[in-house]
Amino acid sequence: MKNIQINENGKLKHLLTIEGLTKNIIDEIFVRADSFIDSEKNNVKKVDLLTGKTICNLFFENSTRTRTTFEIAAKKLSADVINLNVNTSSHSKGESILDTINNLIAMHADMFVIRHGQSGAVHFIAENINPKIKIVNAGDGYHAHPTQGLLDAFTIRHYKKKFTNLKVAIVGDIKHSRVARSDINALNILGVPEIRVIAPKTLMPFGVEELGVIPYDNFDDGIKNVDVVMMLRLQQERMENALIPSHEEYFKTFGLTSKRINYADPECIIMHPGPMNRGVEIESTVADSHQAVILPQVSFGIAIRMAVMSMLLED
Amino acid sequence: MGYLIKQIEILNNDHQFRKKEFLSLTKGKLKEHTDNDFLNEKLKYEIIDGQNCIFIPVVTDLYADLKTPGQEYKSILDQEISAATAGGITTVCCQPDTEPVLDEPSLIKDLITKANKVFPINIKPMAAITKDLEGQQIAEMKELYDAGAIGFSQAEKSIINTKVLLRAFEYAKTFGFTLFLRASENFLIENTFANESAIATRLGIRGSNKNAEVIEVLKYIALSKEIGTKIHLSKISCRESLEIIARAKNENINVTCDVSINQLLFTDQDIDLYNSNFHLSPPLRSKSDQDSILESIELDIIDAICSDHHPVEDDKKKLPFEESERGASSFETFIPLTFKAAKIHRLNLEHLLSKISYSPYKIVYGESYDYLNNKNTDFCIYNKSQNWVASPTELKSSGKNIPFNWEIEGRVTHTFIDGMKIYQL
Repeated sequence: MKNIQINENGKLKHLLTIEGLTKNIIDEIFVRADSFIDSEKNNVKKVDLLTGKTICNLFFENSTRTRTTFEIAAKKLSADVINLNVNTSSHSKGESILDTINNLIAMHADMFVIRHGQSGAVHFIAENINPKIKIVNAGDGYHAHPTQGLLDAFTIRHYKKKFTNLKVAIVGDIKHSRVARSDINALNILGVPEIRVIAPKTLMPFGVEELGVIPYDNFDDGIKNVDVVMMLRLQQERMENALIPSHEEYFKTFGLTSKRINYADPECIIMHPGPMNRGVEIESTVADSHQAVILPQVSFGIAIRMAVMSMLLED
Repeated sequence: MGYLIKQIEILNNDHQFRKKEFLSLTKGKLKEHTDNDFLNEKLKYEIIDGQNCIFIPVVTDLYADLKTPGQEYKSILDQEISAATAGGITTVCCQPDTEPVLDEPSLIKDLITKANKVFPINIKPMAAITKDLEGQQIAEMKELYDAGAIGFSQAEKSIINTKVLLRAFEYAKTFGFTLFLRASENFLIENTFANESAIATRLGIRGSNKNAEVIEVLKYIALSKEIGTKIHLSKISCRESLEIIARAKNENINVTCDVSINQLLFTDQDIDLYNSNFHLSPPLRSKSDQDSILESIELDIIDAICSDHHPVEDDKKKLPFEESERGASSFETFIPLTFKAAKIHRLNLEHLLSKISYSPYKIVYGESYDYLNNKNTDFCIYNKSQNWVASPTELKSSGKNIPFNWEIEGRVTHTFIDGMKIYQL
């Protein structure tokens, strides 16, 4: 696969997907994120790494949560931030993506953080704009959500220290999940020896084994002895498209319950990219249990996004 | 004016190359000669040097999109007819999914007239099987046939209502018409943009399950077996479909089929990094499907290869993969790509060329073509050693959407329709 996010010196030029990143690049991002977490602990609320840089959050798809974490991260780096929800702006008036972007470049943005409903849309933008402009993919279709993949791996690293002895299960709508794809890529690069994906056949993508995972269609079997369980959000429209019969049946067969978590390793951590559907993919008591690291994931997300943005824009 | 073609290799009626010293074309009639004693001194001859050239008769394209009627203001028809002639294609079967849909006799007549104003190429439109391609009411097949439609098609749409489909089969059978069908189940292809495969999963592109094709192939063959309607399955792409078609042919069911030239050259792996020029319909399938296609060509399970020419404006291709318009521009690269497919897959070239000439001709016209004794002397001359690049400026088609950028070996240098030279490079 052509890799347009790495420059000729092996450095990160854009962050479009985790696929194709080296372990070294991911480690560098993690070390940087560690330093931002340390600064935060020392009450340093803001660093001036990106003073004078303009970062534009360009969201073709609504997302308050992800956009906010990117915005906080950018502001903590002292960058100027512009937020644009394009689906309510010029795009709906018939302007093409490239015209929208080129207009914004003319306004001197240094980086675009882009979310788009279509897989590959962010690659398309990166390939077609001025190469000096940096692009961070904040989620494209079912393809990738690399900062989420990185922050998930970072969270695992924080709690488990090593990757090379772990069994990780990703549970839910794998088929329509960019988070699952990015998590799988990150964990494979970092050397996790066993990645399981657990879903009914209707939510399991074709040829998923080729991504380097073991598929399970029985949750009780799939969760056995795992060290990490990563739950995915179930979108409402999946039921409308006849992929599952009801939320109730889904919860019964693929929901993470307090009974089911007992099959996992006793030290197992529970993750979720949010927002959660309590009572659909996860039982409330499990989501609030001591094993859940869902809120730390959000905090780590800011440090990871600061690390990525500063790496891309520093020179 | 006569033409004297010297030292040319001819793809003859037995689908074999034969080198001929002299080939004369006078008053629309083609003759072979071993010496030049026949030359009529009163007649002027244009000499065509046939060194490195192949004479390919009746290049017949069973599936093309002329985007007309509907976009006359962009002069697309003129450009597409020019592109077809530059590509050496002498018969073009175009699809009815136009605006308006080709479901009225006057529209068929008008299209043929307008196309022939550009060049006297054989335009054989497929008329809609159902009104407005809606799958509800059968179109006036007899009237449409009399107006010049060569067969009936739903283009990329299927008939969801099986009762209407059955009636269409029965009605077509009444008059002996052929139904040209794309096996593509509407619900299963909805919101899909590639072959359902590991690469589509990796890229997050929504993939179409092969069953979208296979289920329809099974349905069409069952109806044809029962009713006896002649059917031609267009742009078959999956191994499983070909296995079913092979069995149907063994049972002497009246079925023929074609594949798109794109499926011979490319696979789903070529999409890598969202190249929208590979956004095609049907989607590019796996290597295993391609292997099955190649084998089925050798075994004559596949009767023809079509160009699947579909010009797309730059603005509609230069978009994220799923948002881009499907299709590839291929009139002008059709014959060179056929040569290339023979070369890279080590297929019998003469046999492969028959799949774009003699064989589809028979499907369209219902009779075999004899390059020396015929009603219309249609052929092209293809120079094997003429290399070129299909750059936007070089292409006559309105669509510059070519899914490759390599240098092409070989090019059509002349096209003759009804004994008249209508194109010369």
